[in-house]
Amino acid sequence: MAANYLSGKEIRAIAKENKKVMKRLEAYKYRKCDESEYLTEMKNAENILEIDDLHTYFFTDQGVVKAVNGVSFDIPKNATVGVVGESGCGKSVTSMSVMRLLQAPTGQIYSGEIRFKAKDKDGTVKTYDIAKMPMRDIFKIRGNEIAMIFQEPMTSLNPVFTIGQQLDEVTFIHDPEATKEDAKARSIEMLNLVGIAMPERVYNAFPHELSGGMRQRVMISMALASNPRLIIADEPTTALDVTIQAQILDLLRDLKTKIDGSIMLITHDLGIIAEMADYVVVMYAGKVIEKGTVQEIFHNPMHPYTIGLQKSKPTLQSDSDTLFNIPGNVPNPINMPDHCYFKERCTNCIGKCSGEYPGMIQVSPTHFVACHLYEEDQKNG
Amino acid sequence: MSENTKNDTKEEVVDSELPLDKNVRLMSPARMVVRRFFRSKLSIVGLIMVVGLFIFSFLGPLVYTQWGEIELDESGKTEYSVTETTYTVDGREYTVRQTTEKSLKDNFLAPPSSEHILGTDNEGYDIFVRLMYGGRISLIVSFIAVFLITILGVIMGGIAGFFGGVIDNIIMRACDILICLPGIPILLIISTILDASEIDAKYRIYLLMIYLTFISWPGTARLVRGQILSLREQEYMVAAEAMGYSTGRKIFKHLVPNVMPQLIVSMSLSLGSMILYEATLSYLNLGVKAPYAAWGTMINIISTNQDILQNHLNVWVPAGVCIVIAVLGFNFIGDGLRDALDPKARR
Amino acid sequence: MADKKIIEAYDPEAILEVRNLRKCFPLKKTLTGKVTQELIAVDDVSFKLKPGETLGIVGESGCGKTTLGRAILKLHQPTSGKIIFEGQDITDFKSSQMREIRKKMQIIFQDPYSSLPPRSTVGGILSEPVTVHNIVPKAEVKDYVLDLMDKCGLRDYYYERYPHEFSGGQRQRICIARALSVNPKLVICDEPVSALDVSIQAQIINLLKKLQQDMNLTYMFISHDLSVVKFISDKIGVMYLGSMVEYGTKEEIFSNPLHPYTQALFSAIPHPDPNFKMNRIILKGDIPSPANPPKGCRFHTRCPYAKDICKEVTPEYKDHGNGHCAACHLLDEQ
Repeated sequence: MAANYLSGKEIRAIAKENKKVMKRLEAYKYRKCDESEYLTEMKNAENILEIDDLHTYFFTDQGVVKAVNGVSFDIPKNATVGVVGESGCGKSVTSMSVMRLLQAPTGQIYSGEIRFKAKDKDGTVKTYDIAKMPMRDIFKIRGNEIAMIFQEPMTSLNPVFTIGQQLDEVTFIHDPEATKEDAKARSIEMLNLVGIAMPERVYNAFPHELSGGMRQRVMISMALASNPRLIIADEPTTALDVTIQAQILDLLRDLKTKIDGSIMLITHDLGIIAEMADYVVVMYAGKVIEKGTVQEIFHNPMHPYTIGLQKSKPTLQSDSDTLFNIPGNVPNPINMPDHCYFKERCTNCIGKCSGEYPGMIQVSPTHFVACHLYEEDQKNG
Repeated sequence: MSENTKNDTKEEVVDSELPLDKNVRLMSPARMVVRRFFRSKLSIVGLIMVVGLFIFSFLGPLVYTQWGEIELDESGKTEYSVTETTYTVDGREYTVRQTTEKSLKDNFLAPPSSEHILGTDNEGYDIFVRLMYGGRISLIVSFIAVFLITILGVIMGGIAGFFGGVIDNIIMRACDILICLPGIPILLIISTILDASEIDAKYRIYLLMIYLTFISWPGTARLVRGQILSLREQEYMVAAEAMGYSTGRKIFKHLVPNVMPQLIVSMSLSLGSMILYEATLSYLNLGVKAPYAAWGTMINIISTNQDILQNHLNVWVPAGVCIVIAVLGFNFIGDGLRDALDPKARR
Repeated sequence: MADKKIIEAYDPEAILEVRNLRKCFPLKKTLTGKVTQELIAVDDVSFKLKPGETLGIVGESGCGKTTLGRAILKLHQPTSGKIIFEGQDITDFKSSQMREIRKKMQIIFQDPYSSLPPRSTVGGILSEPVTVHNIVPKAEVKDYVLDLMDKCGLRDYYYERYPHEFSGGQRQRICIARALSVNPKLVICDEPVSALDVSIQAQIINLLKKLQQDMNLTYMFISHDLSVVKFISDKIGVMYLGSMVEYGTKEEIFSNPLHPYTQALFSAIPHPDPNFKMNRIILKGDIPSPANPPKGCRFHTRCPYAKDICKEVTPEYKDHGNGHCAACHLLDEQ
């Protein structure tokens, strides 16, 4: 179907436009500026991270991919926020935006604010807008205040260094005056914390000598070593076997009580969210379509997508013969229509759905949903 | 709800996909390759260099017909030599100046002029024209050699990679032995043999290229074998096996097309090295022999004549520049193609 | 290891019968080619499969479930044991003999991205097996393929497109269509949905179920996810480190799991309800390496009920009533 391909003229136009925007955003990223330029205030002092209307775009040859397209949610202190959605919904890109780890120069934060409450070296609490921070200042928070656990424990450890060397490094970066003995003691303590039975042996081991579950434990201990205020766990158990996943989830639940920080848990598995999270954010095609507490999302899901997602997940307890399924596919993120992105797959469409994208409707103090179906309720109530 | 979904699922899938699908316009695979190729400035430079050289050597002689490849400029010139002899007779000095006029048939070592754009060499051939003809030889010869190398390499590497075991061992050990052979000394021997058997100067370069093919195919064979070994583990090859396809179909319809990108890259890179080989051979007086032109032969002049090396740069520098342009050009294109054809490339 | 039983008469009802199948991969060889260390990927697995049935094989990574599937298709030559397909012993068939059998046995892979050749169009991928095996006359191939695409929920204009233009779910549909293009009787589904999103998973499972009814297919459905297997299987086999630890009908396995490993697998799956409190059995330690499996019962290193006998003696795999088989010393005592 040649007609479905872009013509040479269109390709050149896209490339020209992309180049212009990317150049501007890259220059902005590497600008020199004073700290005051990216200091800001939290909307709610109880929150540790506030993402406000974040737009993260990828400027590809085929057009602009709006991977994160106006996402807003908060992470309160000492809470676990679960971000759930299917592949390509922008959940990982959101976390990468917070860490400023986007693949440059294609991936760029286009607009929006990421407010993060960080402690300075001398202990004063400051609120930074991560989205505006220049790259040279990002070390203030990255790895220090925000730590990340990746999906693939097989590849996220450097194979040529021992576990001990990699763990000690974190301590040295955090506290440059630490002695070797201090660092080792701290590393062993961290390994103990994540339930590794023989920390001394693991300390001297190379990553390839450990199993997947053990490596993920090490990754978690690395994330904890710098005492972060926020841990981003991006699909921490997806690459693991079920019985190992149960161990890791048990560990994370246990750690929640031990550490003084929040967890942003990104996963596609509703079961994990139900077990782990306090608040849930459901994303679809780069937008938040529903957010609320875990009770609200699981016992009173409102958006047809959330409902469908919960129904289509096979469980051991249900007895029905066939699975409910959401028809169609996740839309390709280039050239998104203006109307609700879920319209084509939705079984409860109303006339309004062809109109513009629905706004966020507040159903309860904590429960928000983006669907035209509930607009009437709001007006009446 | 779950009861009725099963039956109407398919219909919904089909109908609901359409509108969003229509919005999505992708790049065709060919365009994607072109786009990635032209993203790098170097590959554009390389392409300009190579295309320029092609036009220069293949179309140039048709346009610029003032001189032929082995046409001597016989306009001749008169060379005067002055000898001074001083006699001392009765305390007075007498200087006798003797001028000899020598009329030469050929106009050699002429400086660049409107007659000869880059001047003439020590024989009286037009350098500019010989550059074009030299380019023809160099490009044709290296293309032939690269094609031969690729064909031989694909067949041998394909067989070794696909069948494995003893066949693989035999072919790969043969490769190892060939790689151990010292190239230049053997070339010298072969060239001497060719000299002795009085083969036409025009054709001996082709014979030497066949020899080059013979010692260069192991590189390609190893590349193809490595690719096929990794492709064989891909699930679509297991699927082809499970489909019960014949061996020939598996190799030629499923494996070889997927090796092509790497092959094209290695071909363009080896074109550069073949041009260098050709130049080296000609420089060592093993390749194209006078009166026929090749870039290497044109540089070879300086090895016998100190005066030209120092005072007549126009004789040998242009040929050197052509060699550099050709080799760089092919290497830039090769690098560009590598990036363009790599399916794992980002964006 | 159970003694090799004398081959009984083949069960005429079964489409596939696997007897004491073993597959070892050599790890280390001496210079003379003698194998000094080997990895026992599949160890003494036996089962029967009736036409139209679905057998679910569940297990974690390294348990040999993929190798089992490929050994049945003879993509790996089994080390010992018998594979009987439609009353024929195909264990020692040569590749030329297998070519005919391949029409009747097909496989769907886990990764829809690497299992489609990147340089052919969808039409090319689907019509190739049809022409090679002469399923329909040449003139009808395109209509046949379009009909097949329609059955699998693919639009007809996909015919000219390349696989990279599709999402995972659509690619998996193409893979299913390719497997079904030769009208197979047995399809081995090797984790066909584990690389897909939840909403797409449900579509593919429903599609597989529908096609099974329409075309009277027999499935062997390999997965690590018990909840997925539950929806599609009639019989379920649970594998651990190469051997079958429990086998029975779906109802039996789900209502009365006998083996402690099956019980642990059940409890490990997170339940999508925040108020659901489950008595979770968390297994300690990691899955041992299949290259160096523990002595005795392979599960004893992680088993919460392990006893001394488990460390020494391999439990016998036997019937505990109603064709519900399991291999565990605890069951023998009761």
